[in-house]
Amino acid sequence: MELEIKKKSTFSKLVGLAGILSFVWGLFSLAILNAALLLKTETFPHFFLIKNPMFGIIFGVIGLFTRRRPRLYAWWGMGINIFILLFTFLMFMLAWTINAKP
Amino acid sequence: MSDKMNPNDDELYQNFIKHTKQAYNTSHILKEEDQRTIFNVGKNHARLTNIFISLAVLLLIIPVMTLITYFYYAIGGRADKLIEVASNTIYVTEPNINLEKIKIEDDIGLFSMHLLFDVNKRIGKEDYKAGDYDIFFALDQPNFPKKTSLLERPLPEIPSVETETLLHPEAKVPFDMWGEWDILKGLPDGTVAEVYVSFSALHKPEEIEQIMPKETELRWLAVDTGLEAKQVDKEGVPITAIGYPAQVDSTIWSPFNGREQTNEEVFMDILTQLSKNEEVATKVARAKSLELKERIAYIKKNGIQVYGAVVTGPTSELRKLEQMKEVRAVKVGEVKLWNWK
Repeated sequence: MELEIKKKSTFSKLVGLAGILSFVWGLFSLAILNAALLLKTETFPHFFLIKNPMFGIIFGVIGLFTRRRPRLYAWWGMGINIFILLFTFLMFMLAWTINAKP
Repeated sequence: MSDKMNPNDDELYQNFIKHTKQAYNTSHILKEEDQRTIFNVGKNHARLTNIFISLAVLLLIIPVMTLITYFYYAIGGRADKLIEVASNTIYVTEPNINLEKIKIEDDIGLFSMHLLFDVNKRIGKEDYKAGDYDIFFALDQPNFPKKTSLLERPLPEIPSVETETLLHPEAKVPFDMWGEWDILKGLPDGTVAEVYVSFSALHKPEEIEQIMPKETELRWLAVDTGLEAKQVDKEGVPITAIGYPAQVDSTIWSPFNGREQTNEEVFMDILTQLSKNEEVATKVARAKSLELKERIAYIKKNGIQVYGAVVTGPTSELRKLEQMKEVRAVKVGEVKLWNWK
């Protein structure tokens, strides 16, 4: 039985940071998505809706490998980024089915 | 096994506890500053987590609601059905008005949809933009459309018995018949015009084509549905003409494209469709009463009989209508420069 503050390794710190980065990345993409929806832009910003969430998911997966930090941020980050990808896909599908034109 | 303890055990135990406490107090206790650091780190971490999660939840609201709205309009083709009802209502309630269904734009917002489209009118040989519509739907409930008319002589937005242009043989003519003929006579020969023709008697649709002057085009036929003589429904609300385009429209998006059904059959199908969505159709139409079930039953019983028509052509040809005994009255609509090629 011992009580002490363990020093974290650089790897552990980076892995923990990846989870936070995934969450922040997701929030940023989500903010852009909100802006696009509110401003009713004709073309959705492709980079923020496809590429950005993919990076976010990768960071989230890395963040899940942390042992000593909670994985809450990584889970949230992955969830948000997956939601953005799913949203983009579903919106394309649904927009195609509504008032379809030859 | 004996339950008795060795007298030294208690002493040993007490010594052990004492030494442990001493060791803990000397080597493992955290300084107050360290404790404060740990507390602050935990507090900041919790605060940051709260902020992040709150932000995420707030930012998810609009995308989730947008997605739900798109699902609502896509599932079961709800949006397409509303678009079809709106466009078909215009075909059968607006004389000589057509629209390009392919150019109907939908603008889906949160739990709502705007339908935006232009309407055209054939005057002479050309189609002219007659105006545009903006119909707002809160889910599937429409508001009254916002219309912009580009016509010089538009039909009244709030129809009444006094403003009707296509008249049943038994209905009173509310306008100056001779004045309308004078307008036609006063127009130069180098113009084309559109006239609303009211007949002296009911006719079969095929008869109308034969009695019209040759150098004119029959555009729209007003059908007797049993209410036109009185021009009001049973509650006294004014009704307007319902009818259908006289010509086959070969564009793929037009329901009157003549491929599988005649215009009369399409007209009846549209009326049946509108009767199932009468609330939407009534909002889109100018008349605030359509009484479609009653009118459909009348047409099914008596067949399609025409009491009025919209005709377009060179003004000089349209003047010939005055000499025809079948024509009771005309109301002049739009006039354009010569385009009769």
